Amino acid sequence: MKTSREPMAHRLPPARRRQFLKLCGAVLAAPAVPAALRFAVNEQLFGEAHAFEAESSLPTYFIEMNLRDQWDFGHVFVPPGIATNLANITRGGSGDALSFFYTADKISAHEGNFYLTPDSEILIPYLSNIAVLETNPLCEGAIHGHESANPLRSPGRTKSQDPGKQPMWMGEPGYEEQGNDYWYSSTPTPATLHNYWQKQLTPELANGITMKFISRFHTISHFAAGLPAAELTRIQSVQMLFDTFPTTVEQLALASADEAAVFAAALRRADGGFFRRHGYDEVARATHEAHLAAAEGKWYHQPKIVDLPFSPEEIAFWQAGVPDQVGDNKKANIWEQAGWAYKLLSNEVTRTVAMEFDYLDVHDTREESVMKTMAAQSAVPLARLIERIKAIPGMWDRTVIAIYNADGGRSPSANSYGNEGKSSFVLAGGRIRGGYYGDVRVAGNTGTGHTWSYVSPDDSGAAVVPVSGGEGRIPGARTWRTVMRALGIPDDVAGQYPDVAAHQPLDFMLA
Amino acid sequence: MIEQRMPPARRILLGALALAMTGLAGCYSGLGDGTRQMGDDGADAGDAGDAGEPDRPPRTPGPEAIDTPFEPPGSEVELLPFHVRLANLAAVAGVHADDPMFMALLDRRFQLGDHDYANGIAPDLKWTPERMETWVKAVRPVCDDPRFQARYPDLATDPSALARAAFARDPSPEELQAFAEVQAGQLDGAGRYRMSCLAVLSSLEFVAR
Repeated sequence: MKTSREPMAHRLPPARRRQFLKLCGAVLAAPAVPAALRFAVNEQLFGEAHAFEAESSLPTYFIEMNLRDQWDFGHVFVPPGIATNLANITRGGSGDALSFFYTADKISAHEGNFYLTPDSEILIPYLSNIAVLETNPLCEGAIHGHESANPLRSPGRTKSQDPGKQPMWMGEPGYEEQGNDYWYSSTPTPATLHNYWQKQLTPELANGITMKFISRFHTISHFAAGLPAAELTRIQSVQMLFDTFPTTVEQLALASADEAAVFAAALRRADGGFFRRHGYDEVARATHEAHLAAAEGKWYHQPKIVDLPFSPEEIAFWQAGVPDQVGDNKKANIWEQAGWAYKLLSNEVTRTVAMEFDYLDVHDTREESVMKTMAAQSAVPLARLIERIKAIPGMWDRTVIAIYNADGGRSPSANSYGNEGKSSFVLAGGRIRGGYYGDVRVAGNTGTGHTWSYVSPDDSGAAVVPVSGGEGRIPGARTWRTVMRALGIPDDVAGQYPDVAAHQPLDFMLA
Repeated sequence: MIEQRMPPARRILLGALALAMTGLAGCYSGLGDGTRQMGDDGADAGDAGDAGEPDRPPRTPGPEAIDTPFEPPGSEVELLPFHVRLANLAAVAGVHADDPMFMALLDRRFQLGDHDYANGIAPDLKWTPERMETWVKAVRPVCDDPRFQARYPDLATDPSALARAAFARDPSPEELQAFAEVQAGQLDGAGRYRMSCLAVLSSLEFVAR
């Protein structure tokens, strides 16, 4: 609701206005106040600028779920063009047949162009807050699209170090080329920027984390683009996760805040000569000093305690119906990651959690078990997260869950690769307007299967824009700006990066 | 450097092993009943580095395909590997690396950047605020250990001996000034000792490269 008249609070005398502002701030920030109501009241009383500023200063919670290898949501969200034409489609687990294993009578239709299978019906209560878009830019890794960056997570990433771009892989432990590639960018990845912004709002928060629990050498690049103390803490094992968030109060590193300040200042002085002696540049010194400043707040700070190990009741809730991780070096199940993310966020320990998970990188034939496993590993944890978060008054309104098909998508055919067809993105949260946006349709018959056509949504969300090669796909920058808008990150913060600056959010996805 | 010291036969053997591992690390070709199968050649056509055209014959990437960009460590400091930090600490303390005074360090080794390749944990050598916090907590028991204090009895008044042992050189005036300033506000010798100790053992000259 837009108004040009004078905000009501401006009619009050200055002294009373200050009191009123303070009181309203406290009342409206209560978690149970719906965001739309809060914005409307702030706008009426104080004006639109204040309303936007007030929204940006409230906490938001972010779960970035990164799925490899070339995940297929085919059994979770069935594109309308496939769901309504299934009787005429050749289905099967090999070649160019549709890798889909339900008959039409098993598909349920829902508002928002959603068509679900029995594998994803658990999501039905939450569809009004789940947006799905699958005509995103394709991944471009050398090995049929596999990459660690993703054009939606860091729009503008390139394989050459163009001016202003920095290496994206430097923060990832054990990074290697195969299936990841070396990317450069100037756009921070979503969870990293959110972590930075939330720590600006609440410096005492624990740092955001990413759970690096992919079963093989493939990984996900998180990238701060030079933002100080923004990098997520890389958690490489369950034990490391539990050590990072102990269940009991530990002795603090230093005895007082004054001591921490003196210690930080002394290290700044002691370390001054190191950079010169070892040939580091001024950026290294500035980064180190920013880290020392952040550490000063940690050396004498009692973090919030959270009990991450699961109770039997918690295991029963999170695990039921979710297949275990499959792979060469299993690190943690996705239901465990979802449960830990929920505990960390709902206990206000941190506000940013990234998950990294994979299913086997399967090609040639993709039979029923492949599709059903991926469906259960994505739909069920998402539904359980939403269920638990919605049970906390006000939290769902401030939560965003972004699921990235992190290294490319698939065509619907069984034998498909990540540098073709769908490139999926799922966004959920109290501020998200649900819907399956776009479409996938049969383009032709091959005798054994099909070729496919893709349609993107226009600015109203209607599926009318044909995709041809790279043309017609939704720019990654728009998706990125949509996530940032949903997370309440101010436009002047999110819009400062050249590869996203000129792009607008996808308003049809935002409530 | 390792290659220069390695006998040619072993180099060839390791090279072959690396190539085999590269192939084994490929995609899975066909998965239907819950059992996974590798492609006939151990890697599918796609992982052979093609552009996603499944009809192409498989190609195994050779060593030349691994094109690691060279990034000089100029813009962010890098920690010494954990085992090197621990060994240096043991040398400074005059004990073995498995001494109980390092129990807190060993308990937090992965938080402090250690690796365990067998379990998929790679070294993480960023000197982050979180790692600074953990390091100070873990080094405190070393500073409090009576044997350490017997080795550096004058640390509360003169940190030169510890700094010399830790840095393998004389400390600079700037460093000595910093180690004096860190004692500000401490009411007793124990506090001054602990702060000087933590500062020397947490400085970049000791932990980073």
